[in-house]
Amino acid sequence: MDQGAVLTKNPNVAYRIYDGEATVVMPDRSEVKVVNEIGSVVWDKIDGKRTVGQIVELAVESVLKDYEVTPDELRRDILAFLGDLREHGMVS
Amino acid sequence: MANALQEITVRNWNRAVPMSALFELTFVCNHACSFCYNCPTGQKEMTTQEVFDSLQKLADFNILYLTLSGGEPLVRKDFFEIAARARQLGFAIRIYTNAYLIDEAMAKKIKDIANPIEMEISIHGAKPETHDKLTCVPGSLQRVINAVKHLRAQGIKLNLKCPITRDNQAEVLDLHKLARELGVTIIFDPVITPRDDGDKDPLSLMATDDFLKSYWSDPAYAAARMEPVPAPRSDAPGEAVCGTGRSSFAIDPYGSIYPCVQWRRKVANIKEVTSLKEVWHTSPVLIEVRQTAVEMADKLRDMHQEGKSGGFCNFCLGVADLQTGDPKGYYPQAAKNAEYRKQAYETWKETTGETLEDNGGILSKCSM
Repeated sequence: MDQGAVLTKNPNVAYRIYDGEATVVMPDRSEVKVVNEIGSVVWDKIDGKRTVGQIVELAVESVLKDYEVTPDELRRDILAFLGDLREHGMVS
Repeated sequence: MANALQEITVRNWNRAVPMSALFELTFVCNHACSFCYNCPTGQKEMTTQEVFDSLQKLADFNILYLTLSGGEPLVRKDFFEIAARARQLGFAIRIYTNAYLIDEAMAKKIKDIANPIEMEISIHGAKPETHDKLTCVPGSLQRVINAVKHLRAQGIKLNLKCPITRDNQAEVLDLHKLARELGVTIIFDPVITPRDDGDKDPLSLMATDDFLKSYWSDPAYAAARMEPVPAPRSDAPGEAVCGTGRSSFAIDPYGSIYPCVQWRRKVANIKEVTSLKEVWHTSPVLIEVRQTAVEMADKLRDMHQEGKSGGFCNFCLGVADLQTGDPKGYYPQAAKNAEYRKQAYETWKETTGETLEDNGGILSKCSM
């Protein structure tokens, strides 16, 4: 995924966060996805202005203290998660 | 195993964190169904700005699913402004409509502006003479059929919804067939309710006993009722009978907040409320409603253990309150349907030697 690309939430998705987990409804696919706590932190950083690189670093900074993982492991997981969001049409 | 969404839904239910609200945008309607429960009072309905302010409060309260209903919501001239604002505020939108105004252009507008996750369309018969007699509007069945085709062409998920009356009971199977041909699902409701002001006139239209008995027992209706065999309730101790004042709530066109669309015990007026969260947690009405819902589930479980029909009852506290003056009063439609459901289950049990222990729990309960 291009680190300089700006990510935008799909304007067609509806979402709310319950207990730190985002419930994301995608009307066009008749699907509902629940994003876990780390994913929800990432989701929250996607504002249509930040680049992939900025989102990853902000999310790493927010969640690193709570997990026994290295920053690189976390970066890899977050990038994979962003790729997943894009694949599901939740971001572009 | 429950998926993540089911887990969140159940967790929120147990803690009375609502995810849904039903917003009656107007009581004005272009149909005149004799069994309609709405009772306009003549008060001034909310202005566009008041609706916008209310939507903001609902968004601030973290409501995800917003149902736009009526009356007929599409008769509001500002409907699309409201839908656009709702979408902007991040709601997943549902629309309840009679579809009378939906032509090809409006279907596209609904998709482009509201982009609903689903729509529910009322239908009252498979034959024009039946449907149109119940709506009092000639040509209204054909309008529904046309609208379904236009909305389907836009890729919008649709459910048809049919209250069963003695006038349309003979057409239930034809309606199910029609829905299948149109490529949509249909939900039948065998219970007609009094009007919101307590007027019991609509009850004279209730389906006949013979029909209800067949509806719950005859395998020919299995697909229509979406329940191969009527299953007993499975409320755990302490669990509410339904989601009233718990998983959802309703707002009428004047701004009054109710525990649900069927139970018009006023909680507050959204125009006067600064924080829905505060009202939700401190309202004496809601606290009592939630407690009553738990007590009623206990009562039905006790009835079931005594071999009575309560364990098969799809009970509505609001209808009970309207009809008997007691939200836990066992009203005739509930009793009748429960008895026929129980009989059907017991016949099936004797024939097959099998039992059903779980009807789906919280996820299958009425949430609006």
